[in-house]
Order: sequence, then C-alpha cells, then structure tokens
Amino acid sequence: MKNALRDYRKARGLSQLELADAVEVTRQSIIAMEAEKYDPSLPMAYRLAAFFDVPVEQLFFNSWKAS
Amino acid sequence: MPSTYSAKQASRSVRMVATTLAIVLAALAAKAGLRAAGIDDGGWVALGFMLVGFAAVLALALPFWNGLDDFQRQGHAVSVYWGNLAGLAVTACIIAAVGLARSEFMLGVATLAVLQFGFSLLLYANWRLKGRGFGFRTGE
Repeated sequence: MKNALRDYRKARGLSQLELADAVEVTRQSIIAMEAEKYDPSLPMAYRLAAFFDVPVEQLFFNSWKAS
Repeated sequence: MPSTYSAKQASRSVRMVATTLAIVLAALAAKAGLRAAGIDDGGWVALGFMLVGFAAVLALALPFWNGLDDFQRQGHAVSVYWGNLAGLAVTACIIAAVGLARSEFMLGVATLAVLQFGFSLLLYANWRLKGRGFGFRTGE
C-alpha cells in the first residue's frame, strides 16, 4: 500500500526505532510499511495516523478512491 | 527495568532464552549427579525438568506474544506453521530412507505429530470462535 510514512517520520526527525517505540510496534514493521511490503492493520494505521495527527488516508493512500 | 517497547521485547526474548538454557544446564547437572551417585531414576528427573521448563517458557512466552504487533505475529505464525510441516516432511523422508518404521524414534515422532496437529486444530477452532465473539481471550 502506497503511503507517506517515511516522509512524515523524517519530517519529525525520528529514526525508525524511535517511531517504532513511540507507537509500540517493532522496527521491522516500520521498515516493511515504509517499503510498502506490508499493509498495516486498521488499529496500527489509526495509531500511526494519531501519532502524526493526520487523517489515516493522508498517511496510507486509498487507491480505491477516485482522486 | 526497560522503558521502551523494543527494550521490553528484547528483555523478554533474553529471559526466555536464558531460562531455557538454565533449565537445560540444571537438568544435565542433575543427571550427571545422579549418575555419579549410581542412582537410576528411570528418566523421572529429566521428565520433571522438561515439565518445569515448558511451564516456565510458556509463562514467559505469553507476555512476549501479547507484546508483538500483528506483523510480527504473522511472521512467527507463518514460520512455525511451514517450519513444522517442512520438519515433519524431512523427518518422514529420513524415517523412510533409514528404515526406522518400527522404532521408538518413529513412535516419538508420531506422538509429537499427532499432538501438534491436535493442538493446532484446537487453537484454530478457538480462532474461528473468536471471530464470532466466543472463545478464549476474546477481544478487549
């Protein structure tokens, strides 16, 4: 799933481990999401969106929605 | 006390490995002690250590598993599922190749395979029930 996770993380000046610890997931999960190799569960997506204080769709793009 | 999520999970992993090693070493030392004293326990000491060991590791594995995120759980579940199946397939090939069909080794493998399959079915049934709002540890 296309996402802007890396951009938001870098904008905050966080390392992958710091972000992982902040939202209580493993660094491997952050790496996989940033590489777009893993689609997060809904709770994980909401947690990340809440951390960056943005709507979920701003972080994880909805490719089924007409732009 | 570890304060971050990653430090907590790392600490849980280390505790599981350290506990397993400590119990194995204690079991070996007890066995050596019995042998030195010329006592034949009939395997009961080893069985006791195995039961205590599995109980301890299970008690430590629960918080570790509960602390995993869904991506990690998926990784562990897929690895255990396919790893166990591949291990059984290779064992079956070895049994066939070496001709151990009527041996104690075969009996042990068959017991393990049947119990693992049985418990897997039980847990899968629990997972199916949880999806309907029933089962062990349903939701939050």
